[in-house]
Amino acid sequence: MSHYVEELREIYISLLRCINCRVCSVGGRTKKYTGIGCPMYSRFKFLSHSPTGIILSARNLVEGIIRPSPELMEILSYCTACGYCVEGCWNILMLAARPLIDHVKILELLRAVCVEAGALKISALVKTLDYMRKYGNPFGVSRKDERLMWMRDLGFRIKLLPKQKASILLYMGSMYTLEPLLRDTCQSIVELLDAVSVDFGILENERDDGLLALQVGERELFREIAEENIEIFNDLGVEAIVTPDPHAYNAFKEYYPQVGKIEPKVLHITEYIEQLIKEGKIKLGEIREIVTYHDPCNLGRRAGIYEPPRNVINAIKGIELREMERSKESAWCCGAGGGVVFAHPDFMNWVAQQRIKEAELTGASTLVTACPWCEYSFKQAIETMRSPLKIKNIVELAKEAHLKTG
Amino acid sequence: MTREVWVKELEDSLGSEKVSDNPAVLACYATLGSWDRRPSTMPRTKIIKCVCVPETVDDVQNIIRIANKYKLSIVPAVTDMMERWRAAPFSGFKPVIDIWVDLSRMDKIIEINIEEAYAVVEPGVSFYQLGQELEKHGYWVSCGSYPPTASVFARLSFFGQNLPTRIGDWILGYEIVLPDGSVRRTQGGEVGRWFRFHTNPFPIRMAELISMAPQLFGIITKCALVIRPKFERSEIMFVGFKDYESALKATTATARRFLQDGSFVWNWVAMLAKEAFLDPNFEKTSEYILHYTTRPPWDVPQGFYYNYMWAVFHGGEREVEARMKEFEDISKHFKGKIIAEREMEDTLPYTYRDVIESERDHKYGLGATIGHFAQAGGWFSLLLFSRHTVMPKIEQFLVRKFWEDYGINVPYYSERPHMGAHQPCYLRVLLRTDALEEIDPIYATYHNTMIASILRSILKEFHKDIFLDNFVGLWQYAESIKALSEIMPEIKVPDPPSDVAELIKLAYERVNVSFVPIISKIKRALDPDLIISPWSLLSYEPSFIKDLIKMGRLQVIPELLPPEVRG
Repeated sequence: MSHYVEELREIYISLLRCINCRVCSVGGRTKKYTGIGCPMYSRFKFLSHSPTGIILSARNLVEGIIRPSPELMEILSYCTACGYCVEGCWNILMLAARPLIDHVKILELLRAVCVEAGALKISALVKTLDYMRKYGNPFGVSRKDERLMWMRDLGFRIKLLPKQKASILLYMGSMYTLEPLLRDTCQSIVELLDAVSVDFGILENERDDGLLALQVGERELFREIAEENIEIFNDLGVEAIVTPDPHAYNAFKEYYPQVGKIEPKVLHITEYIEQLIKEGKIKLGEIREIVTYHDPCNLGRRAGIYEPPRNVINAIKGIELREMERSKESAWCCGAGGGVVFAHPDFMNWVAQQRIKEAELTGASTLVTACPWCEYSFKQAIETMRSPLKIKNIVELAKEAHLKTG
Repeated sequence: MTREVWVKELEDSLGSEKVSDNPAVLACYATLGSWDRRPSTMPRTKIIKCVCVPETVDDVQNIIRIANKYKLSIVPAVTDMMERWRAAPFSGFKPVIDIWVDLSRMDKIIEINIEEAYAVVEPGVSFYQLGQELEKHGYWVSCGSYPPTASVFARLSFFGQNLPTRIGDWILGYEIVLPDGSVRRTQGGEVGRWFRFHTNPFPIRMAELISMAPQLFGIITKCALVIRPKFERSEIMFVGFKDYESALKATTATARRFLQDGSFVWNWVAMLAKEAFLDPNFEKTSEYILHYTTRPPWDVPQGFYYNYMWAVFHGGEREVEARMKEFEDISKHFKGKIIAEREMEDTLPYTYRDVIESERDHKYGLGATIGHFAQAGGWFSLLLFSRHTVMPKIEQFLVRKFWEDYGINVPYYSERPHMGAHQPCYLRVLLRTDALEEIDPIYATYHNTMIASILRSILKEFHKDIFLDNFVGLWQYAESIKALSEIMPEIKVPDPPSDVAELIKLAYERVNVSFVPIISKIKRALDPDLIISPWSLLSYEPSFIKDLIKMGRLQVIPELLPPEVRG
């Protein structure tokens, strides 16, 4: 028997604890959040396409009622791993300080079982994993220098590690460095850091963080990537790793420790910028704008970082932050996570459109976020919807405000 | 006709996104329990060939049209009511369901009429969804301690069914699609099952008959229900007692006092460790409850567990005042101490918050009970319904049997809801499982055997007083034992066929089957091909069973069949 099934068997009792209340799937009023839950269930309305269904499928797999199959993998591939279900489950059970059932971890295990059994037949995901194996990124970009293309038009030079030395490693992540739609954001990030004289550098040969491989079900590949990255990070001699990508942040903080220890401390860019603002290194001018903030799942629910981005926004004079109905723990997903961006772009677009509609209801002119995957899916969605909403990364906003100080 | 043909026709008709024959999808529906805890060894009792999630009445009509054309069987279901809608009353039968109709996608609130105080909703509308809307108007609808995600229609309908109370009066009427595809609207009345017929004397009106058993006669697509303005005043009172016996007596006395005047009062007596509720991580709970269960009932030190009851009063200013006064008098008579809200909040913060929010303020949170027990570990429940006058005797019998036969001092709680006359109560026994999770299969077998044995004893003693129709676990445990004894013959279990036969026999004794021929005739007249939930007649009508076996809609384990069917 697959050792992933064995891992599921070990948590079998917790699978039985699911009482099928379905707050994970359809939402409800609980101690911290209100809202309507799982994107996958909201779209398909089949029990199987819900967190309850994920638990049931895991049970059925352990009990031998079903086997890993392309049909099962097809269902699982629609989950964005947003973690809304985990938050809902935790809240509905009211008393727990920690979730009893982590649906996302169960999903990852189920996908791993399917991938190991050769049940992954979704060509986009097969291709993505192949690219990660071959080129170290999910986009199939073979030339290493292409990862540095976004730096071309910069008016200054960025240190390239490990050839050069710096105290901060800015780990950009594959999405920022390789997605043309996000080049402006990349540049804003480094421009802001350079403007306030942060001693930072990026990796000359940056490799993907590997979380995508793990979430799609290729755990061995994740392990290899993680081992390699940990070794590189620890040899750099940097004080901290700062990343603008919450997926990378979540990978380093939550998943890498199972493989090895990263010596430098790891920060998300919003935490770092908040720190720089507090230290008076970043000064912010005035921007007269109404904005709303979208909590990226990997930064919010999965890492508990809700306040730093809000503190950064609120530090900008003249800006009005209006919360969406579903925010923080109950934030609706952007739709791009868990490999959905590659496997089901139409579904991703549907999920993102729901969020755009919600953002529009606040009356904000700009939707601010702090994740490249969210930025990407929202930019796609506003194009489909022809929405007047602007999408900005929080660092872009901070840079704009900084420039206003003259 | 092969499945591919009719599934394709369903897809063409409804749209492929509303139809699935993906085995992984089917497996989820086939193995779903309700929100009640289910033992890990629960046998899989359904064979499902296709699942549809209709969105409109047209979709439902199309499903029925195709089911008629190919003579397919249908089971309608919605949110947490899956288990109740499932029609497989006894072991030995495995229904073959061609189309499982999940109505969750029909989730529109059609109308909220404040002037006339009613709402019209589709079956998939949840308490949370409707509650949010009603709150805007200062109205509410009863949810009780059920999940906010539950279907309003299903919960209210079946709550009326299970506890024949005024709750059923929340329902004003249904829109139902009959097996011939026609859409009808019924008058009011909750969805009933069989015992409704023997609690309500004959003659039964036709409209009522249909509205009382739509799972037999059609698929409900809309439901009109009563909504209520928020009460002028809502209060909650908690009373603590020195011992369980006093709490029980006071609860019964309260129930009797308020029985006839339609008060909206609810008492709950808990017999669990006080500290169990204090630790957010529930680490103490395990320790306390395990400690408690292994002591004989007479050896549990005073103060070890907490006895309290609570009551909610809704109504006009003076009416509530008078009832609270009366409740206080009853409590004092039994030496109860009124616990101030602040004290209650300090002592049992989570219970307090939940009770206040759901019962007094009608917020749609999940009941404390479900949260507590699920959180505290794996629990097996044995749920019994009876009249409030009999319940204390059953409780005493149960505690004695568990202790004498198995050395377990069972934690349990009993509720005496009384929102009108003829209100039965229920008792839930809770047994932990996770302490023995390392040897789970053996423990599950042991547990199932134990439950079956205790249950048998209770049924022997009290079968005239227990509402067997409500005992959902009746057939499951027996079948679990059978299945496990086959897998692990070394484990000593009672002989399954005789257990089942005995239970079924007792069940039959309780039910007046005189109406069955009438129902059968109506069912066959309306639904000649028996497409809609034919298994609902299963345990009562041998000719149906034989027909269904012939039609390939039942797989059977011959030795478990009731004798009249076997013959």
